[in-house]
Formats: sequence, structure tokens, C-alpha cells
Amino acid sequence: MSKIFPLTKVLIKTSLFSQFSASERRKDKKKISKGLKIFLIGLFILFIFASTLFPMGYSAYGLAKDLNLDNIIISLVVPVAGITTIFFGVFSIISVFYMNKSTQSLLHLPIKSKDLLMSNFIVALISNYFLLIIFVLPFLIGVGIGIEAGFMYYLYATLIFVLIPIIPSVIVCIIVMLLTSFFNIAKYKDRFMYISTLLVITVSLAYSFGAQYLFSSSLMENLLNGTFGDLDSLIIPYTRKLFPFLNSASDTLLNYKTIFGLFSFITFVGFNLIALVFLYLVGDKLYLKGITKSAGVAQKKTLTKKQVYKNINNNGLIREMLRKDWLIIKRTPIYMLNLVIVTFITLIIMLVSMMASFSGGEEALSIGVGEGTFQNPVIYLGAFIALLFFSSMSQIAATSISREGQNAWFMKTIPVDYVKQINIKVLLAVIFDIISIMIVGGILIFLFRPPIIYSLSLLVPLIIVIFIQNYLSIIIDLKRPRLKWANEQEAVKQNLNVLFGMVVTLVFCLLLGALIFLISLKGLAINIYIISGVLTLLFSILLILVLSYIRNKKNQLFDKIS
Amino acid sequence: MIKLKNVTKKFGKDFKAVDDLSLDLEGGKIYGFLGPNGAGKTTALKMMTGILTPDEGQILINNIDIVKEPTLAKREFGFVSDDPDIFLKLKGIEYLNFVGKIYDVPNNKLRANIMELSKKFKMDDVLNNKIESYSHGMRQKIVLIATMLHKPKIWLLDEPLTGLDPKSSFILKEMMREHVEAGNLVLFSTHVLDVAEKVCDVVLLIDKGKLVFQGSIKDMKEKMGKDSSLEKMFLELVGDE
Repeated sequence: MSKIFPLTKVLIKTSLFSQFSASERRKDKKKISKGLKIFLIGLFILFIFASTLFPMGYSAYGLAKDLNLDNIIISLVVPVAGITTIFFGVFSIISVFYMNKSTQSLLHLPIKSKDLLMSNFIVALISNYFLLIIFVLPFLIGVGIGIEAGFMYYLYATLIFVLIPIIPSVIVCIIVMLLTSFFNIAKYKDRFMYISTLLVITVSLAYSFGAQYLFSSSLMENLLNGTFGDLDSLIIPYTRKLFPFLNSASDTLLNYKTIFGLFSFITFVGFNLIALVFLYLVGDKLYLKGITKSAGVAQKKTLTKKQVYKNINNNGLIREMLRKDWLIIKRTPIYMLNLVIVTFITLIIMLVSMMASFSGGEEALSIGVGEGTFQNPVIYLGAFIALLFFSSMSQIAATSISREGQNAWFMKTIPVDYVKQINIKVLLAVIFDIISIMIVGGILIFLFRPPIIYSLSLLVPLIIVIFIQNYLSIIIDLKRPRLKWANEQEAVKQNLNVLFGMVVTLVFCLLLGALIFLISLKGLAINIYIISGVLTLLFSILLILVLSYIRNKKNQLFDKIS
Repeated sequence: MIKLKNVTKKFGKDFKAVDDLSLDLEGGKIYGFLGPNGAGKTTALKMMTGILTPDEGQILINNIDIVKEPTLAKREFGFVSDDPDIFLKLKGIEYLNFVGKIYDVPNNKLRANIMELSKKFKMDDVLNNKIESYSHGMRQKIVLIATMLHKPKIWLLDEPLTGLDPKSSFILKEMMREHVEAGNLVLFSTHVLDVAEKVCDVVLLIDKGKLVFQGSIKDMKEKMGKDSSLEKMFLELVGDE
């Protein structure tokens, strides 16, 4: 037990915050202050994101209050935090527990497996807080401001925020550890990652969709029966069924002034302690079994002469380099899940929700879509922003250099021009962005049937801006690549460059949003084809500038790779 | 074949990893890069391969400036890093195919080279496996095979014998000898003095970024006294740190 905290410290330093540690060639003061600077920039970006969410949390409370649903936000935010932790936490738990090189290198030391388990659990838990800062904190604060809460509310809210991911994370840990009992992780390491992640995602999605369905159908039934009175008491029983283990957390916040609140808080702390003790005791039996399996070596396969010949394909250099990058993404579950599958799942969820809201069929759609719709510059720019946002969800370019890790030096020894290497990496990212656009755009075209020329007027400037966005993302990743990582998770999920890449997209969205605001304010009736032409011209100039910057600074851009 | 003219590389403000290093390496010889840890061997090799850019001086690979014309210069050599954990998610055959395409090796030659080299290093039955399933020595061997696919005249090898089994180690040493007998050049770094003594025609001893000795082991013995062991001479030349 006494080794948990020193172990956690080491694991945090080697995995979670290795990005900020001065583990470069020299440990001079300049490097440390640079690391700190990067950390502060990261916090600043996080603050920007949160500052857009805080008002949302506050407005959500205001809206709920207007509908006589004063308690709904707290009743919803707690179970949503639980589902979010399960949904996204599964990646960090699997990679920290089973794919981390630091953990593998500790196996020969006289450390109890339960101590190693608890240390890794804390590391995985910390990475979950980054998500909860975005998904939960704004709403807790928003409600606090809305109800003009006192000190006790914020004290409880802070403690609950800290405790909230524990029970869901323990559940994921147990599921994952049980799965390792059936899997030979060494042999099927990648399959294990895929299956357990998809299993947890499917279960949590099915759970939340099922709950949503039951909730909305029962609510509709009650509303149709004319039971309008106290909506809170009508809805909250359903939210309590979402994550029963977390109900005492909601009760604490809803009754923070009373003794019942204190009692609920003590109950919640008790549940968390039981969960941790359970993990500590059960994990001892399950964890070591799985982790020693993961450290094994897979069996060999024999390759016939014919297969060797088949593998030497006729691809040119560009196709072969694209193929190499794609194969690495495809065969690294963390990359595939984070960069491809999660992007498409999120897209599909958003589209399904959107289509569900159009459940009235074409008749309902035709109400909104008239002849003037496709002439409206605000709608045109709004659609442009939405497509740009959807297309930039995959962070393939923003992590393309970091993903190379310790192999990045290879890029500098091969006789392929740096600009060409950047172009190939951008091309792969653009291909995925275009697939995203085709999915979203295809459905939008099916729903709204816009003229072909209208679709093209959106597509042309959009593709140019996607190239710019990806080139800028790769420049950021080249300037501060995260090459030293203990597991692939750090290259894609614990990488600030992803956040910087999102900021690039946000800047474009904000500028276009400002244009919408200006057009609405002045009531301008600009022809959308003129807007499309101007955007194409502006983005083309910007793309040329970015490309010439890359051409002129290619050697400096690759300076950080050594 | 390789010329370094007053090359310096600094890290931070004051630390010179390589300090005013000049070398003129000719074909037909195996050069052994020796020196204590942190002497600057890997930094020098990294500059020769274009991974690092020198702060001062010039590096010519077959008379091509690696800084001014990197793409051309990089075609002239094959480089083996001290870390063979490369592209672990690719299968051995995919990695070799990828490297072959990078160096524009025609398909028929690529197939023949892969078959020949993989047989030589006893890797032909594991080419369909992912590199992550290979042992350290097997990873070292697949990187060596990849380096030789385009038949470069210059081999730059950073600790190439580390992790190799005795047979592969013997094969590599034989190949190095055959390679230089055809008028080519091999430059490899090593910590193992016995290997240097048995394999190298010329020893380049580097310490604190500076060249402290260049010559054959015989020359070194003459300089330091005939009775000295290589180990003693090494310690004396690098200041017995």
C-alpha cells in the first residue's frame, strides 16, 4: 500500500505529463520554463473551451428553470458524467493498464500487483478529469451561479467532481480485467483493445439510447395525459435510473443545505470507498494475470515465396507512404479508435439525433426548405461552418508527426523531400476529412435536395480550407512534436497539438461566424455564389501562403526531430 | 567517400557534442567509431545521415553536401540506428517493400534482394509477422536487411552487432568485409573493443566531441607501447574517466 503513491508519481511522470517534463537532451532551466509555458498555454486553451461552455451551463439552467425543471440539470449531469467516463475512459484504462511500456518495465520489481493496479487506476482517473472539466464542470458551476448557491454547494460540487469518475472507472476496470481472463493479450493484443472498447461503447450507447427512449416515451405519455404539473418530479425518477450508484451525488447537490444532503454525501463517499476496496481486492487476482500475458511474444507465421512476391506491389512512392501510414493507424487500436472509429461514431450519433428530430418526414422538412433557402447567405455560411466542423473532427494531421514517436528520425534519413513527406501526410488526413463530408453532405443532400451547383459552391472552398487546416495542424505538430511516449494513447489523446488543431478550426469557424453576424446585422442580401467565389479566392491565397511557408522553412520545421 | 570539414554541433548554449571534427574516410575500409558514452559518436553519425544539422562545418557524402542536397546525399548510404524498434505494426515484408519503394528499387530486384538477404539472416520464415513480434536481434536483422536493399556504397551502422546472435553477427561481419573489398565503405560505432580490434581497418577514437586518434590498431599499439592491451590504450586515450 505504501508503494502506491511513489509508483503513481513515477507513472504520471512517465506517461501522463511526460509532455511537460524536461526529459529532453539537457535539463537546463530554459527547457523547464518552456515546458511550463506549454502547460500554461494548454490551460489557457482549456479555459477558452470552458469559457464557451460555462455560459452554456448557466443558460441551460435558466432554460430548465423557465420550464419548471429547476433540478433537472443536476439530476442529468451526474449520470451523464458517469456514462461519459465509461464511454471515453475505456481507452485510457486499457492503454494505461495493459499497453504502457512503463508498466511493463516495472514488472520485475518486487511490487504487489494490487499496488501497481491502484497506481495505474489513479493515472487513468486523472486523464478522465480532463474530459469531465469540459462535460461536467461548466454545468455544476452554471447551476451554482443560477441558484445563487453558498459555500457548501461549491464544496460539495468540488468533492463530487473529484469522486464522480471513480465508480464508473472501477466498473470499466473490472470488465476489462475480466476480459483479459478470456484473452491471450500477447497474441491478440489489438483484437483485445478493439473488442473491449467496442463492447463498452456499445453497452454505454445502448444504455443511454434505451434510457433516452424510455424517458421520452413515458414523458410524452404523461404529457398527453395532461399531467403537466411538476415536471421535475415527472422526469427525475427516470434520470435516477441512468446510474443508480451516483444518485447520492445528485441528492447531495440538490439538498446541499439540509442534513439529508450531508447524509447523501457520506453515502456517496461510502460507495466510492467500497468500489475502491473491491477493486483493490478483486484486482489483485485479475490484474497480474492479464498484464503478464500482455508482456509475452506472439507466435511466428511462415511466409511462402509466393506470398513474398505478392507483397511486393506495384505501388509508387506516394501510395506506398500513404499505405504505410494507414496500416499503422489500422493496426494500432488506439489510433484507429481515436482517429477514425470515434470520429465516425460521433458523426453517426449526431446525424441520427438530427434525423430523429426530423421524424415528421419530408413534410416537416419542406416547411423549412423553400426556394429562398438556397439563396440565403446566412444558411450557406452556417452549412459551411457545420461541414467544416464535422470534417475536422479527425485529428489525423494534428498527430501525424507525434504518432511516428521514436521512429521519427527515419523521416530525416530517407531520400524523400520534406515537403513531399508533409504533403503525403496531409493527403491521408484530407482523404478522411472528405469521407466525413461525404457522409454528412450525402445525408444533408438526401434530406434537403439542394441544387448541384449549390453543393459544389460549398464543396470547393471547403476542400481548400480543409487542406489549410491540415497543413497548419501538421506545422504545429512539427514545431512541438510529442515523440517520447510510453504508449500510443499519449500521441493522440494526451497531446496538446490535438487541442491546437481544434483551435485552428475554431478560428475559421469564428471568422465565418463573425461574417454571418455582420450579414444578419446589416441585413445584406449577398449572392451565395459571390460568397463562394470570394471564399475560394481568399482560401486559395491563404493555402499558397501556407505552402510557400512550408517550402521555405522545411528544414527548420524538421529541426525538432532528431 | 565521406568528408567532414570542421564540423561542430552544440546542444544548449555551451555544450559541444561534436567539436571541430574533421574526417576523410575512403572506400575499401571498415572504420570503427569508438569512444566512451556521450563522446559524440551518435551525434556525428546523425549529422552524416541528415538527422541533425551541423552548426558549423560541412559534410560531404560521395562529394554531395548533406545539408545542401539532402535527397541526393541520402541515396548514397544505408543507415542502421542503435534503436531497431521501427514500424512495429508493419509486417517484416511490408516494411521491406516500403523501404524498397522509397529508394526506387525495381520490383524484380527488390524481390530478389529480399529473398537473398532474408535467407542469409534466417529471417525468411518470419517476414509475414509483424515486427512487434520480433525479438531485439530479429528487429536488428530486419533493419539491416532494409538498409542493404538498395545496395548503397556506404554503410553507416550505429551499434549494429548489439543483440545479434553469434551466427548473424558472424554473417554481418563477413558482409562488411565483402562490402569494403568491393571498394565501398563501412563506418560503424561500437563499444566492444574486441570487435573493433578484429573487424576494423581503421579506428576513429572520439572523446568529448574531438577526434583523439585515427589509425589502425597496429598504429595505436605503436603509439602507446606494444605491450598495452586495447582496453588500456583506450582508457589512456580518453583520459581514464
